[in-house]
Amino acid sequence: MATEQLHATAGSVAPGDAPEPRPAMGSRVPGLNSRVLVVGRGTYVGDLSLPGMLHMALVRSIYAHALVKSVDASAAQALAGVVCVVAGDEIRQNTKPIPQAYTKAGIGAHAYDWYALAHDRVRYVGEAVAAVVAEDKYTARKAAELVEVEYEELPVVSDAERGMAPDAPLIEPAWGTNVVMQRTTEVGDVAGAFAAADGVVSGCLSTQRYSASPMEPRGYAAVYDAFRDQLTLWASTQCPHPLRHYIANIIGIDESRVRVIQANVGGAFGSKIPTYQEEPLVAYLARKLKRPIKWIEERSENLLTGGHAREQKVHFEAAYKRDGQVIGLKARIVADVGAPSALAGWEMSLVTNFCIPTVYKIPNCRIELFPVATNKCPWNAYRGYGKETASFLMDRIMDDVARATGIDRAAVRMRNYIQPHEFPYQQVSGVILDSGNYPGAMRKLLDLVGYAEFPKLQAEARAEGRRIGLGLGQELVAEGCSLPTSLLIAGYDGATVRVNPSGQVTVLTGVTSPGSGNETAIAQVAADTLGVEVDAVRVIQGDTETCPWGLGNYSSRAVIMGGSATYMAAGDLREKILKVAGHMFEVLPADLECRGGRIFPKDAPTRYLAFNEVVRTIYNDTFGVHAKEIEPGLEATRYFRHPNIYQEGDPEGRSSAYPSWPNAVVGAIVEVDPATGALKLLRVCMVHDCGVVVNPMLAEGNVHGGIAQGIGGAIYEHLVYDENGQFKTATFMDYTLPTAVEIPPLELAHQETRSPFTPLGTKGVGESGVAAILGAICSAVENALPELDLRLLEMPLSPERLWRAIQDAPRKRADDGAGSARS
Amino acid sequence: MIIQEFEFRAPDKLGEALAVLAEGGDDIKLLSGGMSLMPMMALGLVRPRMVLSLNRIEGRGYVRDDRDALRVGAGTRHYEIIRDPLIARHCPLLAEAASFIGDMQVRNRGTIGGSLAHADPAADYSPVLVTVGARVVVRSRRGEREIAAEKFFTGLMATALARGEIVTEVVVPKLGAARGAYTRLHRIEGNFAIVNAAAVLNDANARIALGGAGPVPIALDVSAELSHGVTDDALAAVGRRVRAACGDAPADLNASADYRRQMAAVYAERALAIAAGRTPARHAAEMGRKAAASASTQNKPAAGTVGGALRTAIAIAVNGQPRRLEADNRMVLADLLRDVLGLTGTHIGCGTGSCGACTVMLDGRTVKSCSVLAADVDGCAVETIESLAPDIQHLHPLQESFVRNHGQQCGYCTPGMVMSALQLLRDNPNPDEAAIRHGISGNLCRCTGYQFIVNAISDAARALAAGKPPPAA
Repeated sequence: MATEQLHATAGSVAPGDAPEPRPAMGSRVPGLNSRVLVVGRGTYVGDLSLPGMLHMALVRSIYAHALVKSVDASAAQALAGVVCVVAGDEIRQNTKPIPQAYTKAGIGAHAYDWYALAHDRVRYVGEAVAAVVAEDKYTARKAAELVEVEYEELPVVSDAERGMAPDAPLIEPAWGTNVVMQRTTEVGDVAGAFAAADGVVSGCLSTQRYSASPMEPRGYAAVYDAFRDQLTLWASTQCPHPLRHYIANIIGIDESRVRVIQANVGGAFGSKIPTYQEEPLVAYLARKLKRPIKWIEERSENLLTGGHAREQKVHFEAAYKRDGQVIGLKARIVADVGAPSALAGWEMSLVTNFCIPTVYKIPNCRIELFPVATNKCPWNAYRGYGKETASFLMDRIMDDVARATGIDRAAVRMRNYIQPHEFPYQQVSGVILDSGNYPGAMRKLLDLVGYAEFPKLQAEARAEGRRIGLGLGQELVAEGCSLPTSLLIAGYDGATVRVNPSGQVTVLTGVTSPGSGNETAIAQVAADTLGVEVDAVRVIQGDTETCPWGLGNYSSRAVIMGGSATYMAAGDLREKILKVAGHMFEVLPADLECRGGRIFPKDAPTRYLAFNEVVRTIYNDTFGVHAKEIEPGLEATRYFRHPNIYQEGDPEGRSSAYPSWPNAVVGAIVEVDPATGALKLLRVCMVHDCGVVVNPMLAEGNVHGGIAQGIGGAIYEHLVYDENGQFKTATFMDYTLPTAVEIPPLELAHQETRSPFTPLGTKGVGESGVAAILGAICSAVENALPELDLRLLEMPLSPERLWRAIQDAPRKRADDGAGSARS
Repeated sequence: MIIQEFEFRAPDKLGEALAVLAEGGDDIKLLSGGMSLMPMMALGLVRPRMVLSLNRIEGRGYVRDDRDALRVGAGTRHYEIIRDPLIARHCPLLAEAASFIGDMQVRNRGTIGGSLAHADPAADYSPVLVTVGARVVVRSRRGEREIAAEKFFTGLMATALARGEIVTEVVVPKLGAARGAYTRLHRIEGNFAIVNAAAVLNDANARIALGGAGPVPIALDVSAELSHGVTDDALAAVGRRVRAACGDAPADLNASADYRRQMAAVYAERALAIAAGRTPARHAAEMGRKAAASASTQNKPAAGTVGGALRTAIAIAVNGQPRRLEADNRMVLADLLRDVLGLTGTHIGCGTGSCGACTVMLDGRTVKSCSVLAADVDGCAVETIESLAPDIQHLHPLQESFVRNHGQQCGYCTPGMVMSALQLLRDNPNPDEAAIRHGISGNLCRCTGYQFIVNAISDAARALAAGKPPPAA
């Protein structure tokens, strides 16, 4: 076709009158689903109602550790409206245990066969003992209370360090210990480093138990079509495809007969990654009763059984030189990981281990890890996934060294950073850090927060009787996790991209969104790759019947893996489309550009073909002159495998499970009321580096949320058990999430260092923000009260805890450095 | 979720309510605002045989000038106390105390009479009423009596109310030349105080009362300590007396007894300093937390069934549409909207009035619909998120602003958040950042860190004030 004819059909513009289409990537595109959500038309599992739907309620253990002697459901079954009651024996006979996320034996860890109901023994308050199904939710709950369970109490392990004692009661007698695994990482000459040090700082860091607490509790609904042998499960889950496989295996149905649909998810933050007891229960009962069944978690159940995290102690010693260089580190991590289960939880302590010493070059390290089972709710994945404790530990060490040497806190960090030219950098645990510019980010932060001018502000405030302080915190956030032998946790994912005959684009991904908005970023990637507007792209996620196999959402992988796979699949289509367009233009495809729904020669952008026109040619004239040389159809499925994952191990046997390493530095300004221990955050500034930012607005929103959860963990949130393993914080009145009043204005800036390992340079942003704020707040409080030798190592900083720390802190003498300096 | 059946009665005359109370036997719970009762029922901590609502009785909410006192109807809701001009003039610390109660939704629904009868040891009104020498008017079929506020609280969540009595009015003396103050320590906005303190002083006399530091408010006359003025030494002397007086301070997850005693002293001194004008009042700006019920109750459902009707017929207008329905008495408004009417934009995040995801407008003001019985909204108008946008192209300006500013992520808290923002902007079209944060403190969000929500509301307010809706995103 002659060029003139092309213009006639596709139109042309005079030079200058076509606005240069802005690339979608890098733009603040509003969330694709935001309009639907803001009018209340999201569909969460709780919103589903199916004809004849039944409701499930659970009977949960009231003891932390007990034998289940008998379950008497007669009173419950006598209640009108009750359809059935099942107990552990039936589940044990008819289902398999919930699969573990990966083979534990490979790393020397103990595993546990966790069934959908406990049958002979309960190991924490809240563990499910029986399930009741009734015609309405009130009756189901009422009947659950009428189920009589006879228990015989067993001795309780309510503390990890006590659980390590030789005479401690055993939670899993077959293990012969409560320690889930033991690992020691030793690199360099640790003893030599401590001998050569000018001083040593030491202490014990303690972080409390807290939880993800998404605003939507968990919920599942299942319907079984006996005539078609088809089970459909709607789930508030992050990982529909793995869940489908697990459900099929647990209840014994062909995987191809199971469809899992991820409804709108009202937040997850890791807590909806694994398979809990309730998903297989709902599926099993729907199949057994041949009626739809729904289970919606109550908030108290979510707090009691929805997975806990973070309760760790880290005993540390760090050896430093007078110039602030840290040359040696010993850390002993003892994690209180709760009862053994199939949740992907205790591994968070392993990640704490992997990440130390984060952004710093400390050549001589000895890190010991002891995850210890206790009679508490199992740990489950929660945003941060252990990285936060590693970062928090390093922050406290850097502040200690600053105090001991008299060197500024920022300068001590600068002194120890891995330098920008040293990437990729193998950290002591063997992980390979992809990229970063830590000094650059720190300099930006010092500017943003006004570090140099702060002492003046502080003096002015003090003159008014107000005590304000500025603290620094740094985080290194391992992302894109990939575990050997895991169906669920691996460093790849897929996407299908389709262009329909009208020229509209549909992307189907294996990654999912828990409500964070990655579908928008993925649409931006597809739009730019194909050269169409974002409005022309729809993204479909979370349905195993329509979407390609994929692992869902965790470890900030949606844009790293799903974005890259989308880029690859869209790239395949782009290639086909340009090949046809090249034929139409009579130029080489490589000389064409596509942008804003137009395809044009790079050297003559005013001569263009509409994207739709080329697509139409491919569909309508498959055997015609332009399209006959390409394979028909405009659909491609591609999988991205992250290249920075090393499973086999280096010469020292170290592998690298995490390919992507976003990082951030925070400056927090707090006001302390020394008379009460009350804290008020005045300002939080963060410079974060997640590589190339696809959508700054959505990335910032994510980071804001991370910071707020970090603040919750630093000051307000604390899951409490007593010594009998009884749970004390089952409501939001006791487990206090911060409100808009507690969260201060949040200010962000980006530092962009591309990942050299992903096609778009992205590194992931989903967990950023939770870690650095912990150290920053402690550092700020100490800075606000310089007359005290205050050293905050125990979290959370509740008013009473801080007040007591202030009461107990020695007043500094003018010439005194840190207490433990020994130079 | 309330699982135990109960009878529900909502007479429209006080006399009828008194008759039901007198004749109805044991185990009747009075429902006024229900802001504590509803969560306690949802958690199964309270399982009454009958709930007797006072909400259909006309004229329970008022503030009247009566010579040297104000007469405050027991049904006066907290937000009405905050805005009442007579209270602002004659007893502003009562309004200050009300402004700390819960959050906007709780203040819209909760009543002063309900708060008094519930008698939480850390309730905000109690120290104020004790300090100013208020009197509580109570009625039964036997007649009416007045009880001094100081005598009204008799123990942990126990009052001088006799069987068959209902709080009808609170008589609040005018401060006159005296000055008063109220302040408190809490951990999270909206939770009960760890300790709270009220102070009233004039040239000759000074009184303080402390809440949260014992089973009942602790009132002290500190005129002697302050006889030479409100000096540092005088305040320190008050602090010593407070510590000595708070020997029964409770311990819970928030605070040990010792910390409460120490903080009672600090806050007594602060209340006096504010009253004396030495330091400015700080409206709702400290820290705190609530001593509340744990979910792990072992109460079993009652064996027998209750006698009366377990369902209640109601006529309501939902988003302008009149509806006649019959509700299971256990059903909360959120369930009625979601399960019966299919209005699933109203979400349930906690079921105990803590998260605000279920926020809707009830007769034009926001409430948490998990904390209002469906049976109790007969004759009311309800507006839900579904009322704001006719279709996806025509969002309310606030919704448009949320989209443009990315004020939502997972969308679960969003409908409730938008309803609270709407209330906030109706009450205060030009809120500053602090007012926005305070206004949405009853709505928890776990995704956004609130920053973009605050931006969205502020942006919408600017656009609405300028008379034009914000541009579409």
